[in-house]
Amino acid sequence: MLREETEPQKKFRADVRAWLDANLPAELRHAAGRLTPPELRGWFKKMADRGLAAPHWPREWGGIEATPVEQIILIEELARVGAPDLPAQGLTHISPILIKYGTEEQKREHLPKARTGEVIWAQGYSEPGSGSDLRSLTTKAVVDGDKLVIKGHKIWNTGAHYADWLYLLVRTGEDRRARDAITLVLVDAKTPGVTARGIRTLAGDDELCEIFLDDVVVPLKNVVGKIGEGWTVGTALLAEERIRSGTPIHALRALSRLNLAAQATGADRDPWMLDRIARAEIEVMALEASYLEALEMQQAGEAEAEDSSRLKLFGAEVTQFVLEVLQDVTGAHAAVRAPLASNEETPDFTQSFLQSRRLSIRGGTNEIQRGIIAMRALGLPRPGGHA
Amino acid sequence: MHSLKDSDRHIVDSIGGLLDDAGGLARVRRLQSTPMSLDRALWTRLASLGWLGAAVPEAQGGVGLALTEIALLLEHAGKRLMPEPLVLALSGARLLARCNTQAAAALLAAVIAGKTLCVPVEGGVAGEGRAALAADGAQRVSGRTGYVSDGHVGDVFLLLLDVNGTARLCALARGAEGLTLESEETVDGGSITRLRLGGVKLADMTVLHEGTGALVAMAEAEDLLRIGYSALLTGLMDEALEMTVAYLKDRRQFGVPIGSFQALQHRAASLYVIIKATRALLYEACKAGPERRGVAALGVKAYAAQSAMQTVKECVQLHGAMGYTEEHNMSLFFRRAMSLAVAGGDASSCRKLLYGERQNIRAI
Repeated sequence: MLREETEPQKKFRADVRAWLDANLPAELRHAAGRLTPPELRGWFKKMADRGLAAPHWPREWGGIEATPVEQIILIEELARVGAPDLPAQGLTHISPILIKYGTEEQKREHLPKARTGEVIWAQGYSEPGSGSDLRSLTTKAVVDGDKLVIKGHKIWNTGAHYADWLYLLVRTGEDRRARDAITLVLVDAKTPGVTARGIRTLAGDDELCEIFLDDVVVPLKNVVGKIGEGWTVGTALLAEERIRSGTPIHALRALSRLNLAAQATGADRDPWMLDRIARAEIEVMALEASYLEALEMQQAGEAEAEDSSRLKLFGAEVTQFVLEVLQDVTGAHAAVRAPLASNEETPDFTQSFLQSRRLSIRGGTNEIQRGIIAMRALGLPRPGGHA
Repeated sequence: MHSLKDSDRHIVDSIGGLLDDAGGLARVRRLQSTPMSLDRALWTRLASLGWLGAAVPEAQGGVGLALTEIALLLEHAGKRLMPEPLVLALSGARLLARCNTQAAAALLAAVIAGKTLCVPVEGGVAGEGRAALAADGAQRVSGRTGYVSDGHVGDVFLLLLDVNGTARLCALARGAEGLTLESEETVDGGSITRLRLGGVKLADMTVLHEGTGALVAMAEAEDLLRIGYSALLTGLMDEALEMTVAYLKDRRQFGVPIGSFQALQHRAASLYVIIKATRALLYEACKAGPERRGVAALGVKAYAAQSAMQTVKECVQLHGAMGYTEEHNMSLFFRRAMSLAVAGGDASSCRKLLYGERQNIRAI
């Protein structure tokens, strides 16, 4: 962070740094692959107990109401030691929505367990026929007394085969374009009729999933907001998700790997490489500044409608750029299959690069975000032929 | 961008009103085609509004703006392509304000009043001739400085010298014996200028400050140059995109506004993202503490130069053949961006220095 830190902020950083040094297991530092929820369970719990798993949450629900600057400090310190990401769906996707729209019962039941990682969440939005055009989704839910009966097929559900609970957008109205035809509902993954299956990715893991829903019976009290409010609630959720998707943590962690690699390969003595590395550092500075500004504006109630799209796409591009420089720096090793275990001594060169392709796709592709910016921020006309 | 406070609104309205009333882009066009000119009337107006003392504390006769406020002032000057060397003047004034001599105080008063233009020279184009000038045994100085954008306007140059191993900040008047100005005209009608010193007598230079303080003050003046030029570039690219978006909405082909085509929408959206990022970085850099200020200023200058060039190139392209004409105002933006991109250090020079600075910080 470029900004001068106050004394309390310096102390916050020192405390977090000391705690991370003492508590983050060596085998989790700069891990090559994406760690699975079972592998992360212990670390998740430790972070939660310290108030750091969801630092921006209200104290009422176990957060520490971290200020934007404190959130940045935490992000920098986590990246510095190469700490792994915690599964984000519960923490930054569904929980903020429950805090805003959930019933007291939903909050009491789900928030504490989401915060500690005791319950892992997965999102069910996209479908085979409804990706970028999400509103055309066809997974159908029929109200039957005090229950919803759900039938359909969801896809691209990160980590769904590890999930204990799912949150789904389902169709409860017939009119395909109507705003009140979609509902957000919480589903226990153990409910009969729910089948989640992994899909192998380009990076060689199987974190993408598809979910089959075969007459899944869910109590009506699991609906978030009202029936037909899912699009509003879900859009709020997407905005929250995308601002947090703009987190500089991926870029900072990539930069930390880049610096390790530059030292290891001698690239930090090559003027051409130094120019590329400096450019990567500056891009990350710009991302951090943008993220901090967005968090502060959100806190001040001045967030702009397109902030989330802008941050999401900028964060993805900066991270991908840093990893491209990392590829340049590593020479022939840029093609090596990642070591099974990696750490500070043997930084991974290829896994993070492979995995970074997802950043510009998930949560709405960068092209979708550009379309949103063009229309909402720049006021350009809607492209012809699309309603 | 956070919503503006009243004091910020005053800054924005004052500089905007001044430049619009003076003739807007028509005046800019005239000045761009008049090599190395200075609109003295406008300079006097800047002085009377107090803006030449923007970076000087109130106790020393200035307005005492915070760095973020200076950036705001310059961002809005940049939106209107202000050709005047305000960044140089602010940086020179700040440097004088940090000096502890009577001579510096007298010079500062003349600078704030708009009577004398003081140009800090060590902040030349980075990487070129940065070797400190040293006095020889005969108490004379010879050598060539680095480039200073628009240095041709200087009445007095503020030079950092090595005198028997001690840093000394001196004032050197334009007409001094042995001093030659080597100016090359830039594409926007300004200049890059170097000073050639051919045995200039130490006795002909006025001592302003000595020792480590002189070095620190010069470094701070360089940071202000970089932040200042970045702010001008931020305003420039913001306005260039605004003009371009208006054109995309207005221009019709195939029976629809060309702004409805995704190929063009996405390019405009990409510019929007980097312009917002540049502005966020600019204001964050303004809040840097003393330890990080050098890195922050280098980082934002490199980023602003790169982003602005990308922006004006795209804006010309998005205007089609109109964008390539001299007649269209985008030509003014394009050439000004080229010039501002190298002022205070071009992008790759800044990156080179940044890497060096960062290594130093790490070593600490």
